Amino acid sequence: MAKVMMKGNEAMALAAIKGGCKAFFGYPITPQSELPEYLAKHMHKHGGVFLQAESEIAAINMVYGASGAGARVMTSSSSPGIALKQEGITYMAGAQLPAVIINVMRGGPGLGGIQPSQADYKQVTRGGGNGDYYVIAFAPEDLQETVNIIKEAFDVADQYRNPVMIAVDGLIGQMMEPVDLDIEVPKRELAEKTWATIGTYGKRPPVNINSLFLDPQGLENHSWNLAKKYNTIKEKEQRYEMVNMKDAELVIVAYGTMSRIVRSALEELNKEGIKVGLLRPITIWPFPEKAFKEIPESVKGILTCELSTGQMIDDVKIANNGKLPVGFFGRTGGMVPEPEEIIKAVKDMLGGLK
Amino acid sequence: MDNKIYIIVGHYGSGKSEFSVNFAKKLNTLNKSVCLADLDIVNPYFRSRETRLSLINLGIDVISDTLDSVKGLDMPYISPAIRGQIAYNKKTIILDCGGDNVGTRVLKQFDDLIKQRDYEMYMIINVYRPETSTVEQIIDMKNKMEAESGLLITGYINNSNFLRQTTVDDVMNADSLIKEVSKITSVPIVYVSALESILNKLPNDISGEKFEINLSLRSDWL
Repeated sequence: MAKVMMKGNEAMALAAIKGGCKAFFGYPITPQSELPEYLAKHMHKHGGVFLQAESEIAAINMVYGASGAGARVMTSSSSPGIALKQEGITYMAGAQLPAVIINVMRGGPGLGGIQPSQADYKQVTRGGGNGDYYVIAFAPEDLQETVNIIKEAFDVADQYRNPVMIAVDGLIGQMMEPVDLDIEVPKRELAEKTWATIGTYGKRPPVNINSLFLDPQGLENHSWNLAKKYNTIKEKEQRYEMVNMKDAELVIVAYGTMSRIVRSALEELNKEGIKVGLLRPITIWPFPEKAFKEIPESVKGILTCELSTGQMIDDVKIANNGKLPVGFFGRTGGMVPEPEEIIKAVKDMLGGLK
Repeated sequence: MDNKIYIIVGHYGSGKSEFSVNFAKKLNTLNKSVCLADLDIVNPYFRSRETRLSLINLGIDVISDTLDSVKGLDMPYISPAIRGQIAYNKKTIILDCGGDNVGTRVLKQFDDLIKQRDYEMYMIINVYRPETSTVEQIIDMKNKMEAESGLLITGYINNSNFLRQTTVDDVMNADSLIKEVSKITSVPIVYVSALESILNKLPNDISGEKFEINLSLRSDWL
């Protein structure tokens, strides 16, 4: 398959099929409805199952079931729908079940709006569910990166036996872009799913898929085991891109659609002789703390840019560890800034630092 | 003849709204009194109504829903003023439909009125969309859209592109494919639309009149 023009939601759906997804359970919500619509039309041609559940909650529990049976499984939704799925997600993290979950973010809180947003950052990276758990979360910035990551995400989920979330804003879901679905992505070495409940055939003892541990010592042991896994993920899976860092005076931290606007702003700033770099998290959990160690000595401050009133900024402050002043620029509610607004925020911050 | 109705239909994401907005501006410069009606109730993003304010400033009427929304409204209804405009017959009307046959279904409520008027229904084609990439797929999409709307397609627009990455070869390869569709269905290719940088490089014998697209729904940074 050569390069094609696809809408974000369609491309994500096709990427899931290419990534070996064999079951999809979901429920429509703007701005991600084309994703289940595409899979409804195409999943069966690839030997997979598409099922529209009666609600988001039903869908995530179907994901739990299919994953427990060892299938490569996915669901998708948008912000308020992802909020509904949180119970199922923490159950899956507790039961160590892999799945890919796509969140095409829209404005909140509550029903919010239907225009693009990054205001789910904390919901995604901290989890809306209970207990000591995380989901691995990718936040790509264009369609090519998104489809590559989705194809890889099924391996990542299987490797760590943990839900993986792809968090994109509504603009990435809705926009058209040329994309090649057949670019090779790294393959992980995966163990056989001996934990899957697919029948013992009289050859092994039954296995349990479960997140209930009534013995406190048992639950503590389980939680520390999970913590150990999360530490491995923090060590191995941080992903980020550093742009324009040489001699930079200021570093902008931005992801997703916001990082694309920032790239345009950087070009303009560069023409004016103002050197600004971009630290772009590709994983938002684990947050790319390692990238902050690569920030050059020339940098005098960090500007966090988000499509929210300021959520990732807390992770930026933790990673920065008090070293540099941290500023913020954000638009929210579905408002998307033009590069000029970023340029002004950069100049304001640099002015204050001098 | 002046008060023609131009109906713009096609597959999701083939470029209907960009063409419609640019076409409205073009007709406006030809001193026609233009009304652009956004009939897209399928998709709440990248709709022609987003350019409402700039079009009104040029003297172009824009109708979508009764709230005159620009963005953010996800309600599947259209303004009754659209029916009024079609019946009133005082303006050149562009009907910008939603994607696929689902998007053309909305036309059915007007087909009696439209058939009494001089109309063109143009099918926009981007052959680099995977679901309209073969002769068979394009004809299948045409048939479905005609069946759903009760109206016949009178022309094709070759809008095949990879946005700013489009090459002349991309447009020429699409031209060969759509010519085949045109031959089988006896419907002409009326326009070939592209960004200025590509349009200037296309040979003069390419099918369809050259039509320049200025991206109006997509920000420069996107």
